[in-house]
Parts: sequence; structure tokens; C-alpha cells
Amino acid sequence: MIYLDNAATSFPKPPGVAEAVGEYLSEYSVSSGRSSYPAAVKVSKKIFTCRQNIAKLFNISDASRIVFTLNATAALNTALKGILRKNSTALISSLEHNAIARPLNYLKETKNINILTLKSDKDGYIIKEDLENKLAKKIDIVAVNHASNVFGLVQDIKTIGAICKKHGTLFMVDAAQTAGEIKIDVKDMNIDILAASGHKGLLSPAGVGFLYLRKGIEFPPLVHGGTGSNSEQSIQPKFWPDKMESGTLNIGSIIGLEKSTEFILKRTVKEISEKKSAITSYLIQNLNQIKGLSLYGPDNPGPDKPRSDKKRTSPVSFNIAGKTPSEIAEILNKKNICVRTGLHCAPMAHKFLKTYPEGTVRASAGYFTKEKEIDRLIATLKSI
Amino acid sequence: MKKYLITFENTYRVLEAEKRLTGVFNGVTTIPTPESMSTDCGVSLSLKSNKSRTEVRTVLKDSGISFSKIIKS
Repeated sequence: MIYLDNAATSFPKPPGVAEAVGEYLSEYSVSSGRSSYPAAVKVSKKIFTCRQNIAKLFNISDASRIVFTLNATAALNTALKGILRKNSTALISSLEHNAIARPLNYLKETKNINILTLKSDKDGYIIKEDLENKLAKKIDIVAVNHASNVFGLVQDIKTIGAICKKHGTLFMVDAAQTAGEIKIDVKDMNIDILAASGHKGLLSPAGVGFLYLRKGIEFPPLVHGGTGSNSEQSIQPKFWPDKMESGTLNIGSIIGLEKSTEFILKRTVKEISEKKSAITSYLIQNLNQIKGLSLYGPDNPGPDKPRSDKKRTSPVSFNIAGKTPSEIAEILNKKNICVRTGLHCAPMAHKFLKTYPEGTVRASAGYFTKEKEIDRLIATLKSI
Repeated sequence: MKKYLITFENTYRVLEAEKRLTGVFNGVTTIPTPESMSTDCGVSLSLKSNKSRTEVRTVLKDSGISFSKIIKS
């Protein structure tokens, strides 16, 4: 199998991840945070270390403000539904994933919130002047997709964060496509709320993500219930992370995330970023050689440049004249080359690219992708 | 050497304290919380020290550790 769908879920996982999850399932598969016997404490320590690893990766001072969720979508829902009240206003980019667009439109229907969309330049980058202008009126949250899951465009979140801070507006970043791949520093970038999944760039199994909320941001959790603490009380504890984490966690996936974040911390985000940039450059250069192929998005991938306005990450979208995305997928499927076609849960981005409603073919390389695998994709596409 | 039991509101705080206090005190270890002492969470921290309870409290506070109670056992 040639796997080029890492923007959906990364595969393969780093060495040791499967073994760590397998060991948990076969040797000490017990609950965390509730009991004091050795296996329970061991599990609690793994979860604690995982939280610490995430804190290190994103320069978060207090790891108790990191809440484990099912995925990035659950994290974004928790924040949006917790923060936005009747008649609130949310400001988003023109490239949002449905993980932001759908909860906001649900809140529009049920709570009459206002959704404002920022203007983009011809490439898709948020126009800073428009952000400044829109923030002159009361905005309850600015929610921005750090990188497009369709065509890899990376927004300049450091500048956006600084502008939000200047206006005293909450700034939330959907880092589903960038966590583990591009350096994110919540302090330096003035990020109040950060959401990410574990199974993409953080290289863990699926079923775990996280939500970080800066100290001082408090709202009710989406889910209430048992936390293993304050059990004599029938109301939710107010302390973190218990306040936001009811019920038994997805411990197996968190143990996988503990191992994968250990791998990322050792290799460093910088090295991972450079390696993924190099393989993505190779992919783009070769796609550009194919006659009749239209490539979407920034064509200058490079190492993480925090101040650059022209950055991209690994998802690469294209179409080939005379073929629909599904026809291309059918040919690639026969060769066991895995890509994703269609709208990628991001109709806003496709409307921006003018590829709606058919969508595109998306190839997304991962940290472990080799040039010879890209060569196989290119050879197959050339034969079409 | 005196033995102290420290209780916390949740397991996260227990493990955070264990990490910070290992090497600062002797015999830092997690133990089951006796029901009579707390209903906060099932795990507490045990440690040994020649310091008084007030001095131990000061060390914990200076280390930024959020705890519920310190009990001399």
C-alpha cells in the first residue's frame, strides 16, 4: 500500500506506538484517575506524561488546562458551544473545515449567533486590515483554521493572534492539520484556545484529541459526569482537567499519543517540518510535470517560517483535465495508492478554489513517506 | 523522620506533586487515600521529612503545588 492520505490520518505510526498500545491492552488495561492499585496509578501516570508532552510541544505552562477529547472536532465543539451565547458573534476565515462551520451554523439556528467571514487575498490568506476593521465591533471569538486541509495553505496565526490580543478578542486555532508538523507556541502566538487531533500530525491512534484553554477562560463542559474526584458531590468539580473530562477516557489512544509525542519531542517539530516540506516539495515538483494537471494552493513549500506570509503544509490538491476526482481515485485504488477525493469536509475551501461541488484529488505525504512512493503515484497519474 | 500524608483534589495534582517533590523529600510515593481523611480522590502522596508540618506546607506552597490537606501520620 502506498499511503498518501496523512491529512486524514497519519500512517504508519512511529516505532513503539503500536507496542505501547498493545502492552496496555494486554498487560494493564485498567481505568485511570479513580483507584490506587499499581496498574491504575501506572495508567494515570501515562496520561499525566501525555499531558506534559503536549504542554512542552505547544509551550503551555499549566498542563491541567489541556483537556482530552475524542478528536479536534469534539474539542472545537466544546469551545464554540461553551463560549458562544445568544446573539454572540464569531469571526472565521473563508477556508474553514466543517468542524468549525457546522457547529457555528447550528448555533446560528439555535442561538441566533452571527457568523462573519474574513476577506482573503487571491491565495486564501486572511487580509489583516479586514481583521482589524471587523474587530472594531464586538466579536466574541476569532476561530481560524491554521492550515487548510484541502490545499495546505498556512495562515499567519502569529500576526492574527497579536491583532486579536490588541483588541482583547478570544483567539481560537484549529490546529488539526499543523499540530506536530509546524511549530505552535501558544504564548508567542497569543493563542487563547487550541484544538487538535492526535491521529494526524501528532501521530497517535485515532480516538483522541485535545483542547487547550488559557487560564481564565471558563465555561460549562459539554459533558457532565463521573471524574473520580469530589465523588460525594452531585455537581461537576470546578478544578481542571476534571471539570472538562467526565467518564473514562480513551486510554489506549492516549497511551499511543504519549508515545508518539515522545517521538516528536525527540525528533523535534523543526526536523519533522523540514522533512515533510521536502517530500511535499518533491510531490509538487513532480505533479507539475504532468500534462493537464491543475494544482491548487501555494507552490512554495519550505521549512517553517513563522513570519512568512507564504507558507504551506502537506495536503496537496489537484485535478486532471477530462477526469473527475472519483475517476482518478478509481485508477489509483486499483494500484493500492491511497488518496482522498471530493470535498474533504471543507466546502468553504472548495468554493474559494472554485472546485465546488466536484472537489479535488488530495495527496498528503507524511513523515515516513518516501520519494519512491511519490514516484509510483506520479507514474500512475502520467499513465492516465 | 516524620511521615506525612498529603491529599489532593484530583489524580492530576497528585502526580504533578510527586514529580516536583521527588528528590526534595524522602520516600515520595502514591498511596490509597484513607476514607477518613478525604473524599477528594483515591490517591494521595506519602512522604518523609524531618521538617514540621508547617515547614512542609511552606515547601509545597513555594513549589506551586495545589493540595488539599497535609496530615502527619
